[in-house]
Amino acid sequence: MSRTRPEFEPITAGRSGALAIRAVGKTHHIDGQPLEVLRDVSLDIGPGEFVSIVGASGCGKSTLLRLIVGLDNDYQGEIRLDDRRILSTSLDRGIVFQDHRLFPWMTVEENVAVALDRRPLGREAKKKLVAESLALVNLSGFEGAYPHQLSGGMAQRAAIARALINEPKVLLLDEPFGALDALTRLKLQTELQALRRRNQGTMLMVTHDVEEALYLADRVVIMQGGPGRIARIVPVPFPHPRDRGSAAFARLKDEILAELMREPELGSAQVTILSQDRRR
Amino acid sequence: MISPVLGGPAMAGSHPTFKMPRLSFLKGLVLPLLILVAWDLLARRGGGYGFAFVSLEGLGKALVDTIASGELPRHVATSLLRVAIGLSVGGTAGVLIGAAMALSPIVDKVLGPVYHAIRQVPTLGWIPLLGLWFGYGELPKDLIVIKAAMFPLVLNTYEGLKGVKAAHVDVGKVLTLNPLQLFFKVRLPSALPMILTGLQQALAFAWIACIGVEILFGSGSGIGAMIETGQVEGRMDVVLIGVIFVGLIAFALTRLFTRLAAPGLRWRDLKESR
Repeated sequence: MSRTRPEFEPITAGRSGALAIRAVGKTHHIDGQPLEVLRDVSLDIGPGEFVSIVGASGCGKSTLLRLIVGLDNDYQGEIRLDDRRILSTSLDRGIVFQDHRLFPWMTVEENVAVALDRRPLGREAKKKLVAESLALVNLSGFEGAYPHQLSGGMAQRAAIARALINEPKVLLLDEPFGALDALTRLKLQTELQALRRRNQGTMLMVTHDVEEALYLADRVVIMQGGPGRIARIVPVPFPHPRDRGSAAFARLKDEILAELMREPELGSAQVTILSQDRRR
Repeated sequence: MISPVLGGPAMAGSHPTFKMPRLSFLKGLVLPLLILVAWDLLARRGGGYGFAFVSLEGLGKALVDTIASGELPRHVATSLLRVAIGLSVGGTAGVLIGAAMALSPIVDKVLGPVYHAIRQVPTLGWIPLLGLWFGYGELPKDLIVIKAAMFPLVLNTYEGLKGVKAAHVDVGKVLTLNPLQLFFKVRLPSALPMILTGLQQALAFAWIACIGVEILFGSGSGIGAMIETGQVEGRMDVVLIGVIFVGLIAFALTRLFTRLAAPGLRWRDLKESR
């Protein structure tokens, strides 16, 4: 059965996307040694909201995304999406990783289409969705290319298309532009902002880049490490499109950076070890 | 890893990228032609060693004779069929066992030690034992070739599947692929280059084992048996034709494999050419 839909309207019409993170704690075990990565993290994200998490390396922000996407359900507390407890992965949550993680043995088109494998759609309907999805991220014409033939920015666009094709209620972004050059990063930030206007889903982005967080997010969550917890939540009052050069923007950026600098030294050293281990 | 049987240009196909050298074919023919000329000179001069050296003329005549009598085609067909059986049976078993060991820790623990113990014994070392068990007919010969083809594929399939990146498996899980889809869409394609390298080794090992086992058994048909019979009968020309065909067929098989494997590895070639 194929569904038709007006362009850029979510197929899950009337979808919500309220994320409730309640008293979440997570402890890794490294060589039998417990290491607390997250402690008592609570955060409510409204439907359609864009929240950005900033924090030093290893403060547990990527771990939090792993829990939300459902790759790991061994944690304390609970995470609910529209009142349903998250226990495993689901197509109502999409994720974009820092490394694009496209399958190198598939073309761009196949990489995006694999996201539709679990959807009961006909071949034509899938083909159409993939084409639309690639058009959305300006990759039309590159359907047959292999990931290694793409630039970093193009590969990340394809990864975004793969994550958005099922129109998830929540899109998780784990330092999505962290590995890109400065110019490409600015460009993709603008494109993501445009996508968000069309997509209307909830977005949660982890980033190192305070300016990126302020440019895109409705609220910026500052996390501290050792163990990871929320230090402060800063609402961003500026209307879109935002002016990175404005005085108010710069002031807020300085304020958040100052907060981040207060990271306790001992804790950060401890979690740096973890972060290296996790990234292998 | 590759035996001298596959020496010369055939070695090119064993390079991990499966690429043939771009040098023209003619350059590869220079050395064999020089050897043939030297050979012929020696054969004409050294009358006393006539039994060991056959002139090119004698060789040509023997070639025509063995083809006309249907003897050579029959031996070639037997050996090729044996390799085909070895590759299909041993190859399938190798991939299945390697996959089972990679995916199930229990299977790995049970089969792993036995596999590595058996692997340490050279393939041809099994001949006396298999001969005792199964006689000296076709079955033990086929079993040896099956074993030769199976073992590299067990190892490479195992290593290939073990080497699948957790990051890629995570993507599959995020897209809610079930275990079967995860295997066929993520794990298997990721391991494919490694498995194909194993298949290439299996091809070489099966061919070597096939000729070796035919020579050692000395009965029945096959190029190895032809060489052995030729030696016993003092027919150096027949022995030489056998040896030349062993090399030529190995070369042809390697080229054929390279051609067939290339499309499946397009993505990897692109990656490496960057």
